[in-house]
Amino acid sequence: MSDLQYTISDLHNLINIGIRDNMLTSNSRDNWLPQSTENCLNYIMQNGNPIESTFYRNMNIDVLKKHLFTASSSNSSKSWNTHLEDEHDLLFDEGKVNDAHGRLSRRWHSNASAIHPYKKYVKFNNYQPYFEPKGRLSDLCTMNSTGPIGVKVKANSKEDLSVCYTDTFNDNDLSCITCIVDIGKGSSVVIDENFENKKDSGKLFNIVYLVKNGSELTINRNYDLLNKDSSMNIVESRVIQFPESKLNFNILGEGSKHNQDIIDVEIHDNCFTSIVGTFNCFDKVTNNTVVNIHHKGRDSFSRVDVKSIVDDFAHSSFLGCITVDKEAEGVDAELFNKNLLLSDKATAITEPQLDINTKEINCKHGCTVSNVNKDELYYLQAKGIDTASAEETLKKCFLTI
Amino acid sequence: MLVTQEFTVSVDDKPILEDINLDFGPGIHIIMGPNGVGKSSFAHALMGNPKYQTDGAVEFFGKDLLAMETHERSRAGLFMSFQTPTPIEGLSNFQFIKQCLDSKQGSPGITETLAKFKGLTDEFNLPNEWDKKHLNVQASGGEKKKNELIQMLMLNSECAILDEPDSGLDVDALQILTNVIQDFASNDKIVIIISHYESLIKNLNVDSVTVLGKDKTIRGDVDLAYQVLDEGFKNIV
Amino acid sequence: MTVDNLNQTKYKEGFSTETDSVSLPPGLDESTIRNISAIKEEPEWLLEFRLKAFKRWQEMAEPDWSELNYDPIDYQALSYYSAPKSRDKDDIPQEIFDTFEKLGVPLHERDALLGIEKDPNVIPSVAIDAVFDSVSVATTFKAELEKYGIVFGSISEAIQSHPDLVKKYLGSVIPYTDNYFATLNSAVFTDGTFCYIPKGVRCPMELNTYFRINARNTGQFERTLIIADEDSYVSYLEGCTAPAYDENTLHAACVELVTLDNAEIKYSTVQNWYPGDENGVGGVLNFVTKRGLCKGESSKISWTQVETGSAVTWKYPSCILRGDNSVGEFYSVAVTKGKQMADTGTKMLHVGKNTKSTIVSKGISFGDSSNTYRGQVRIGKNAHNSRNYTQCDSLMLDNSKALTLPVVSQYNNSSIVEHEASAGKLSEEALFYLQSRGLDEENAVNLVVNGFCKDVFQKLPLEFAAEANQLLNVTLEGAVG
Repeated sequence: MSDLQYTISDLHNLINIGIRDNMLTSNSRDNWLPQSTENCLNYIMQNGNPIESTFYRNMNIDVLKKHLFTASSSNSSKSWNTHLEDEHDLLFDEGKVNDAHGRLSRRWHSNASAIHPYKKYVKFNNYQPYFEPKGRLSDLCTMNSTGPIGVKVKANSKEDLSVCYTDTFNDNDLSCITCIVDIGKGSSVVIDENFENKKDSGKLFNIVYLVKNGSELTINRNYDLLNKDSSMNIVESRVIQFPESKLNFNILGEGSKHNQDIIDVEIHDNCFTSIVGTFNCFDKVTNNTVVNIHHKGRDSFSRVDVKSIVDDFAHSSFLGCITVDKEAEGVDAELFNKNLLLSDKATAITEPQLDINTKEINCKHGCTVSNVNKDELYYLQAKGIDTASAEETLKKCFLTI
Repeated sequence: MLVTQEFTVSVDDKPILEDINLDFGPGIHIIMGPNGVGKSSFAHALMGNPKYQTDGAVEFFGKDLLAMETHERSRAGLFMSFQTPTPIEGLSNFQFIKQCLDSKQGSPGITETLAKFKGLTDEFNLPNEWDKKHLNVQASGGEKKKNELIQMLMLNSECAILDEPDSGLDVDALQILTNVIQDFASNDKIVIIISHYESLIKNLNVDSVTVLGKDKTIRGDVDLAYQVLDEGFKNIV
Repeated sequence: MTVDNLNQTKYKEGFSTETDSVSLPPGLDESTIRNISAIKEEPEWLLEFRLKAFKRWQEMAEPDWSELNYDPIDYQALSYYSAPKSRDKDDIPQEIFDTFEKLGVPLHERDALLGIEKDPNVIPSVAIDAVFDSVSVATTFKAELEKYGIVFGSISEAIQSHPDLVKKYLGSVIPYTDNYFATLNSAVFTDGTFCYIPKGVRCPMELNTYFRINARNTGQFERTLIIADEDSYVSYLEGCTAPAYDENTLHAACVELVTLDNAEIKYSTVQNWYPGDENGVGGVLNFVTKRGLCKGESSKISWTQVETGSAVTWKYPSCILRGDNSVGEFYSVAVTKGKQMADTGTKMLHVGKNTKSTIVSKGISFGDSSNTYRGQVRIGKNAHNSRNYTQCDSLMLDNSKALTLPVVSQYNNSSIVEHEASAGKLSEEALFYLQSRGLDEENAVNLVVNGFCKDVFQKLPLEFAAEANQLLNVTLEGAVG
């Protein structure tokens, strides 16, 4: 493991410097933002410890600082005007659009320039409650992003969407992206999300997914980072599952210089939730996953299954918590994290948690950290499969089961 | 030929079998011995199981067996049918066979392999869609043994060591086993079987019988086997 | 039986004893420390140790990361020393002996008193050290044990009789800087148990210390140190009770265990401190630091605990597995009811190679209580081929709170860690099955709960397994919702 050390005071220092240097200022035009910058920062500072586990403690604050300041200094206030002048893709869209292939699809970009549906700010106010400050980096992200993007799918429709978060700007940029995905009642939507960092860059994301009553959302998230060892992604996803909704959230990743997926799911009555994460980490990458499942409603079913293969000098950490409120009777929730450490310098930290407040439930969690099973390896070798191939086979088995 | 010279097998540096000198040529050879004497250990040590430390020499078709890695020994023509086959979740029976064959040179294509595999699973009365089931997972003892047999036939190795291939098999399956072994051996193969099962021994053309005792090893022909089955091990080793 | 009844079961150890005692006035400053040290006629090095700890404590802040809520402790309102008036062991007041008798703890070497010849072949099975408030009042079978070279008795006495041993190991497992309460304990501890098992000796009887807090507004800060020399074995049990007072009583103990090569210490606790009344008033605050160091190769330390009492429990008996091939175990049943809060668990720190640890934690909660398991398993980078298996289960008898917060970190790839946890309620099928065979509801519940705790109870020394079972049944009276 590397020298990643981080304390709350680092974050405080960062914020203080930001305010001092006028890089984080209150945005009077954006009255849809949850609170003014000062209030937001105060909230972060007062709540002391927004960082709940070793996972956050592993974040490399220097990388973040470097990105934040460089980005801010190049995106100084005058660049707001630049954004207004550019031609942009449609970002906030209601309803469907047919494209040339006759298939319902929406493709949208995210980079600092392509966002400014000023005219549509009024509608954003509806979403304000979902951006209440949490005392985390997502607050900084929201304040620092040039405006939200997103999609709203009409009720009772079927949509296949894809989004690709990529770079078009200079190296050393930090992009802050705030995104809203509003799936109308009774709809069925599949979203393919691709995260591509082509250059040495950093991205902060704050994405809110609203899965309304009776709707179904499948998210296929794929991290395809070209310059893994120099890029950084911190993605906070907040999913609110309204009663009787279904969520399938699949994530495929390989870590990066600093990769974090923080997924908070708030689940109401009679929902189905499945979160599957598969991470293949090698070289010197870090991958951190946080999954918080909060059962607020009754009779819901959730399964979280995160697997990491860690090789070379990589590091993987996982924090997963199942919280079941007193009113959430009849909940069936399970959470598993399995880690395969292949090399002597690979490391893993796992913290599965349970916070249960009612007895009418079935809740389990489990985690394992191990190497390839020696007996299984020997069996394959005894039938003629060489060591490297046998290990590959066993890795594949690990990910499938 | 498989020849052992002063072959010693140890676990945690404590010897289990010492100075074993045996040779096996084409044909059917039986190995017997009291429980715990180290018959399975002998087989595993020949196969290169990292749990065992070895001393002495083993020559396999002119090559130094002990100098080879486990998979190299398999590719050199040595096959072992495990007494307790290891289950591997996530790997289907057919995928596994295919991968084993792919690592041997001159293997046929996938269609031919699948056809041959299905033919064998039918012959052995294994359930439908056996090719898709996960390797040795939730399979009965008999089914696992059948799996090992199928592997032996498909890999077609020069020398097969079968560790109690009869345990868990019903009467019909035992018949199939006997026929398969006889057939296999008739192709100039070396077949070494660890077993005490009278039915099996009676119905095979046995070329030699070795009894492994705690301190001594006795070699003989099929009469030795009958003697053991009659009198037990105490008087003989 | 209804859930309403469950919090009204009487705490039968709630009586208090009238006895003449010598106490220091409440308050804590340097002079208090010096007084304690003077009363006990301690050597200079120990006073130094205390003063260093006290100075450090004044700079520390009480930790606040737990899930526990309790009224702030006024450290100046407690008295730090209270002992029955006469300190001579042969002259302990009768009422104190009676107290222990009433609690079911036999202290008299009865046969000797009645003039009955002791059969030299019959080795008594339990030796007891009784601690009343701040002092050890009696130790049975001391002479027997001395024949084996075993030292068992009050730590205050051991400081006088075996200063080298105490000096060598005191503070070696729990440094005086370790945490707020351990530091306080290092400054003000008054007595506790000291035990030394010499090389090659297998202690022939169970060693038992029984703690009784009696005086009001006193803190009990005992310090226990057990050393098992090479190739030795000892099984030790501690039992605890306290009267039912309206104020909180603070119990901040430190227990240090050291095992050398091939030695084994089995440490069991049956804790039934006063839990407070149904409104959460009163009750013992049990903040204990317990740690074992497997110093030698192939040594073993196992912690077994049954916690049913105290208003607030905060303890993490831990093992540092330093010697290669060493083994650490933690078996726990923690029951919380009414307004009790428990934040307990363990830390297994694997340092040496081929080390193994097993954790089985069973939490039972009902009423308004909260039951938290907090655990840490750390496999260090040189702890090759190590294994850990953890199982945490929470049984909720009604809508209380069960939290499971484990942390696993692994820094080498030849080890295996497996952790499983579950939370749920009593199996209705199991209850129905038992009732259909003629058992009434209460007995059915007791059976199922005992089955739930079986893995832990099996680890208790025989003599106490039955007692633990009984304690559990009494605690659960009325807990059927």
